[in-house]
Amino acid sequence: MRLALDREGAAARLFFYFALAWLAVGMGFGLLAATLMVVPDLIRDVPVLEYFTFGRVRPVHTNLMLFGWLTSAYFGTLFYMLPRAVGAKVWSERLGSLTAIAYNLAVAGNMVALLAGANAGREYAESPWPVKWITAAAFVAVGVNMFMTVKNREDDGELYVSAWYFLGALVTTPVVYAIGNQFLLPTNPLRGVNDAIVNWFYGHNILGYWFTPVGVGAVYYLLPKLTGAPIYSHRLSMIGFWSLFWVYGPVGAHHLVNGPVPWWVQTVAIAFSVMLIIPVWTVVTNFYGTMQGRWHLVRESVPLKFVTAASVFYFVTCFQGPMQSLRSVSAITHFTNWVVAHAHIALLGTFSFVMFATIYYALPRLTGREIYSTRLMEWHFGLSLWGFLLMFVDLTVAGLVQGTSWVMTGSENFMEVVAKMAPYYITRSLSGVLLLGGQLVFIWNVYRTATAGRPVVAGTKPEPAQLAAGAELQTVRP
Amino acid sequence: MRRARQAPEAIGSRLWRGAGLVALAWAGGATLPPAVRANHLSGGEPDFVGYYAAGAIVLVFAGLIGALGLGPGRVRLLGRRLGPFLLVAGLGVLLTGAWQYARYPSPEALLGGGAWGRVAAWQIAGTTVVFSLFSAAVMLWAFRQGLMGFGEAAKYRFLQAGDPGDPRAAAPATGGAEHLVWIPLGVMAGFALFFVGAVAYVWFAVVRP
Repeated sequence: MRLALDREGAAARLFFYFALAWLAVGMGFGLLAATLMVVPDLIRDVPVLEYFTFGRVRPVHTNLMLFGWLTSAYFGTLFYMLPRAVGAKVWSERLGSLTAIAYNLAVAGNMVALLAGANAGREYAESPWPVKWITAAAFVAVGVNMFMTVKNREDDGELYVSAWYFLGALVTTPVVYAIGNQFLLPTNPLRGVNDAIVNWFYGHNILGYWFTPVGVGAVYYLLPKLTGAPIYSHRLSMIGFWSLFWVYGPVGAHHLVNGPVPWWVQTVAIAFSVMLIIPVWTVVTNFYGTMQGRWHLVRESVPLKFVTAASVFYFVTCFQGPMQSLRSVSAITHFTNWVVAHAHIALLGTFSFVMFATIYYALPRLTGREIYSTRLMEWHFGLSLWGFLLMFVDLTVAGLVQGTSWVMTGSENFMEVVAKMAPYYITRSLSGVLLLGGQLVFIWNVYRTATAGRPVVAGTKPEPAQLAAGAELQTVRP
Repeated sequence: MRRARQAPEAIGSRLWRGAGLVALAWAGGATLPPAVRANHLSGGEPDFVGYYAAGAIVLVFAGLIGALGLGPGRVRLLGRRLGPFLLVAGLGVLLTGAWQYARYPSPEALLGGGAWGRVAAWQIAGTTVVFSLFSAAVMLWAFRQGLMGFGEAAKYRFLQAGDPGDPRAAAPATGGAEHLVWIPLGVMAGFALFFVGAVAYVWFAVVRP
């Protein structure tokens, strides 16, 4: 008997739907955290809510956004894009569906544990020990499923770059995750500075070996499909892939620059952080090269708008990042809101925007229904873009004000600076309202698509135009 | 016959030119005093490693674009000829930066922990060698399996295979739409200038005085 869990696309759909639920909940907690920084006594003496202190709400927000929303969406992306990129069916939809259920139960358990005050005390690794095991098992299960999918493909030809990025992420992430989460032991075996170094090896490499490759792989998948043009240079994209995986490993210690960490560890991190610009420029070059002659499509296609914005923010992230890893710049920006802005431009401005585009692209194909409302898509894009830009500029300026003020007085005026931040935190809360509003519009549109969208008219494959199958050409401009 | 005799000379002269560029880049970098540094709150340790890395990146990336024939139409031929040399020059600048750094005394060495510093250097060298060998082994295996020819055929097969693309992709170009490219370019340039300008202002107006 064929269960719903076995149907084609079941795993991708489940992961996407779970991701959207966490998007709303996670952003809601983010707005609560931002509001608590404006009105710290907001929920004081309110029954039940009084336990939702900032110290608990903030890790709930980060965990739900990283592991609830973004990682679930990424798993959905893998289940949708990788089989199609290699010309095969998913090896086991049932395993994928069961992984989706188990993984998201673990995310829910993590949320409850963090709200109850159980926190392992390390950035992005706050979850309790059983949740760490279930998360690691989920990564392994998805990895096995995807590798078996690729192994069973009929076409033995060269892999497309997106497949490389996805497979590379699945190889490295379980290792990075295990190392960063107490080596999956019940207690943390490391102490002191060693613990900090390993924590930030994990903290940055979960970004560099999980969020970046799957996000970039999704961009390389979406751009040709949305524009009808092959990517500008596959060779350049492969150079970007290999350079990304080679360069990203040592950069984690740039979070500890000017700290009590061995000098050479910091210097290696700084040098490799600057070299990260190479893989980024390959992506940006491919983006602009592919878009040549296709800019008119941006007017009509909301997914392409999200991909364009994400590509811009990806460049900004990876210009700002190497810059702030320099000791002299870090001396101003470290521990300020500049860093918070930087984290959001990567995870929200870049990779969340890519996931919005992915879901808009994949959903009609997974459900057999057209997107319910184009107007709601435009609202979603507008609210997300302007809400995010407001937050980013606000926090960057706030960070510079903090850093400058501390430098001038040797941090003696710390409390004065805290008070100076009030207008910036109010602005951040307002931007959070725009952002959350945009995501609620998005979720409503997806819900209506799944339940009341018009059936999709079957599309036709693009014509091969003047190209002979398998011919190598430098550029193609039909 | 003539072609066979020309090939070894061409390779030989290229190698000489490449070696010459590396030496030039090294000499240029080596003459830069370690005083190319930024003073900051912790005591004046230099950021010159970052500057060398940034210089290397610009040269390496320009070299890549040139060697792959991806430059704009007018300079494509020039890029193909200069590309490999820019790549080599970029690597030379990177090596120079590493050499300059190795000459600069680290806090561990200054405090008498020179032996410890050498052990640490061996550790990072060993890790780099192991990781590079692993990457090279994976790449070699992939080449032999025909999975990674670095060719362009994969991008055409991808476009034709899998799910059909967005039907809107077939829409004809409308007049003036290409000017939309200036919006993302402007945003990128604007943010880059903002970051550099803001940090520079803080340094020269606040930190230095």
